[in-house]
Amino acid sequence: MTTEDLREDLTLLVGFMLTSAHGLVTEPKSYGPARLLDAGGRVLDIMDEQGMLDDSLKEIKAEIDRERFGPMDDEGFVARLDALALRWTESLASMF
Amino acid sequence: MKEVLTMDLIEAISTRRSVRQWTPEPVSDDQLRELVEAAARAPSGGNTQPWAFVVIRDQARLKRLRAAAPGVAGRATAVVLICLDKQRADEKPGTAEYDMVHMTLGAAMQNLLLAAHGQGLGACAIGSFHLASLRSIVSLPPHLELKLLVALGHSVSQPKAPPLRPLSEVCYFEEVGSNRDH
Repeated sequence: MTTEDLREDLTLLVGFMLTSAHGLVTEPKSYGPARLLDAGGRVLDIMDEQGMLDDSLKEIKAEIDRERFGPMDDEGFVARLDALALRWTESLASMF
Repeated sequence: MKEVLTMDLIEAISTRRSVRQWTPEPVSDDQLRELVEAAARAPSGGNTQPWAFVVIRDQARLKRLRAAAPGVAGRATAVVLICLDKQRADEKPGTAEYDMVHMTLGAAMQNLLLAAHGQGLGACAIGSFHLASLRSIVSLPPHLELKLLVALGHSVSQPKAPPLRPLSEVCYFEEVGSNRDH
């Protein structure tokens, strides 16, 4: 992936975040967490294409992708978000 | 023969899922035409056919669309915009026609989703988009009002069935509250 590809992906990501910000005001409140999860997933997509993800982060990305692309299911959603946030935080320990 | 066809249709309705992740394999123009033909066979009040469909399959335009339509989570290989043609139907809220045209567009959307499923494709109806950005991306004229998107492509996998409310909670026979035990 070239720097130009990365520039394009990041530019599109900013567009997604801007239109999502508008949607946070105009759309159902329950869509908000989905948009943030999707934003995280899109960043991880870019990192993956750049070869930046180790196996541990790829596992967490797979969990995020299940939430992004699966059916909307409120049952257990907050608990799954809680577990994802903790796993991500713990993964930071090996980096910093 | 009729019974077989009925079973196939019910099976298609029952097994359709909202698919949000697709492979890079493109959808052919013939398939897309068939999908739009199915959508345009939906019933419409007074046979107004108050719709217009914009099919997007150009990759560069799809990238811009995905940034402007946050509901499109995955990389769809085609998106169909379902628009209300205001030259063919009254769009004044509060009128019976206004309600009817929106139901009509919903029927067209469902036809499209089922036809995509019938072709072995995966699709998802999406109402989350930034209207002004989408109008700009496809150069929509003022008489066309974008109402819905259907993002589609070849599915990565078949999503699990979402939880459904039981029939006894949503369906009544003869009188509301009369069939709680059915």
